[in-house]
Amino acid sequence: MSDAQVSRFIFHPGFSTADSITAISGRGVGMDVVKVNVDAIGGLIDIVSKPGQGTTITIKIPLTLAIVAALIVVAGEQRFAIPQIVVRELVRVKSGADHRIEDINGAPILRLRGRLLPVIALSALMGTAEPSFDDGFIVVTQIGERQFGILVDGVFHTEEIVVKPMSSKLRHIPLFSGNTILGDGAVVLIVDPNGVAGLVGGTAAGEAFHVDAPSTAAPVLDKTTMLVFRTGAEGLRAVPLSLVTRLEEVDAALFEHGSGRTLLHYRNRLIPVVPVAETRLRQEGLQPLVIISDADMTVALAVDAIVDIVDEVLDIEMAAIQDRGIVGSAMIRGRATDIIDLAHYLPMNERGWRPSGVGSAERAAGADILLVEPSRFLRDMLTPVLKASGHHVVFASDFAAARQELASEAIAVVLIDLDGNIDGAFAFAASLRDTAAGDRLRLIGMTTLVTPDLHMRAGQARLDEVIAKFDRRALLGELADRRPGLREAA
Amino acid sequence: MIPGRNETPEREDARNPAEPQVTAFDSLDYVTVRIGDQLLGLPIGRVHDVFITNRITVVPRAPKEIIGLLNLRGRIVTAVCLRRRLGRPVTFRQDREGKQELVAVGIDHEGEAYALIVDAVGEVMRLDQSTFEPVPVHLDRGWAALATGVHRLEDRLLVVLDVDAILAIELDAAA
Repeated sequence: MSDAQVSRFIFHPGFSTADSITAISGRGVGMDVVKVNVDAIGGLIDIVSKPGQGTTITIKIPLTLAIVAALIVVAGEQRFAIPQIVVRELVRVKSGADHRIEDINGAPILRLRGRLLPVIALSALMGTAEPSFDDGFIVVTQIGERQFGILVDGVFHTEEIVVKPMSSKLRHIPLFSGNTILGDGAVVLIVDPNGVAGLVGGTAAGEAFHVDAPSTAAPVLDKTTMLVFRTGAEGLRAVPLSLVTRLEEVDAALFEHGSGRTLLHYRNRLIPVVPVAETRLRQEGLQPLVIISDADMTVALAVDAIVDIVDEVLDIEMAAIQDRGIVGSAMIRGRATDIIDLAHYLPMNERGWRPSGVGSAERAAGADILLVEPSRFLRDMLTPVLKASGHHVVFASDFAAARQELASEAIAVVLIDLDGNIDGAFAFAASLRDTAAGDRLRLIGMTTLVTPDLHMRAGQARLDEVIAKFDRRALLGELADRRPGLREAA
Repeated sequence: MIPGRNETPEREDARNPAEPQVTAFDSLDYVTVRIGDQLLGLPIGRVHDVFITNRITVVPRAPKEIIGLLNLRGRIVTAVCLRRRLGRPVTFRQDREGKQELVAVGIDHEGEAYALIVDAVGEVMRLDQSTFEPVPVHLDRGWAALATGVHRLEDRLLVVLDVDAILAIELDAAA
């Protein structure tokens, strides 16, 4: 046993070197308690001891989110901490100097590199003192895409602070996210930039200040994982990875040709092999296949090469020609890539291959699914899936358009996007339920991430079910089967 | 001499000090505090410590009863002004450097640390149940809600405060 191991006995409960046990000594719990507590916060403790020289006890405590770097500022006579993470820069303002504060109808504004930055005086916000616009510092703060300036009287330094939660009696104040004790023992309040930003609209008139005026048209949620493959010599095509069941490389000798079709014996079934676009089926060697499967149908898309899986924000240019199996094109990794329309490839095979029930459903129903999804990309991706499974789909980009569609079409199922405006979506769902035909409608919420909390809220909003947007199987299962969902169970 | 303080024999068995929920009725030991001339009693089981501080961090937009935050040995304590809570005007004592000097009674409530700021802290009194009376019916409603009863002392009255009621500060939702 090494010396280090022997030393660590001190951390064992009940371990003692004392000869006798008294009320206060020889219990052997001192360092045990320390170790338990250090472990509890994810830390490490170790001990190195040399007889006659000394002992080093090392305690490593993780820097958690509870410790943040904060800029200590002063406004009026009080100090505040502003989390460093939101601070972009500091600007000194002084009347007559380069940077000075102007105002429009009392709303202070700073010209910063040719743009106007709304300014909020911290002391005015806190009501501690009359703000002085003649001399001070602007803490340029960025929340998401919005920038604004917080005017303070002075800036001290940056300090690593331990965030302590606000007292429950003070938690309702939106301006603060917590409090902390500084090195000199003073309690300071940690300014919540989100809370301040929330007050910008009320205190400083004006529009939200956008940083490089990015296109607001593309929501951040449009980041999608795509499988990119090559067809022919040049053409790059992509399909959302969520639609892909598996990638295979199959010896071309295994393909069976009959009555103009190519079939593959795959996992005890015969599945059709469909070349995508310019792809030519190989006569020998390994053929890369993208297996798309969906309930009872499975199809192998033959491609020339699998290129990559990318996670990209897609801005789709719609295809001018609809019937070529392409939803549209997008720039992926700097190259124009066509997004293929699966619906085009699935029905290329004759009816007999498809489950018969689906086909009849398609003929029987009018418009039966309304897809309310603000993202054009997701609409375009889900529509082929729904169509391929035999549903008639109409879509709407917002709730107002959705209402119009509902008025004019015979809709049985409404798929509602919950990622964009969740409160609006729930309100929309609830209002649908209250209409005359509302009780017969099937309302399904779609989200990127299903959480129990969301599930509960959806139940309250009388949605039938919530499913993950990319869980195609669950979506189709949900549409196929009309069991009672959340609502009846609730 | 404080009535009832020394004469009473030890009655440790009469109450259980380990019981966390000590109400005014089974604990007749009080920490006495003063607001103006009024003598008030806080059940001793609820009082952690008494301290004096001159450093307080004002919290903007806080309910008016909360006058700020204190650092008590590394713990952040919410300071509730008992004067304001009882609807009295606030006066602050100044120390020699002109700073506010605050006398605080430390209390734990629902896992959080609070300090009641009072004018002065007196002694600990042990009183007899026989001198305890319910709150007089004509007492101001604001006071009646915060008191559990009154003790008749020889020369004055001691109002027993309900610590939980005092710390149940209504939050201003609009803030």
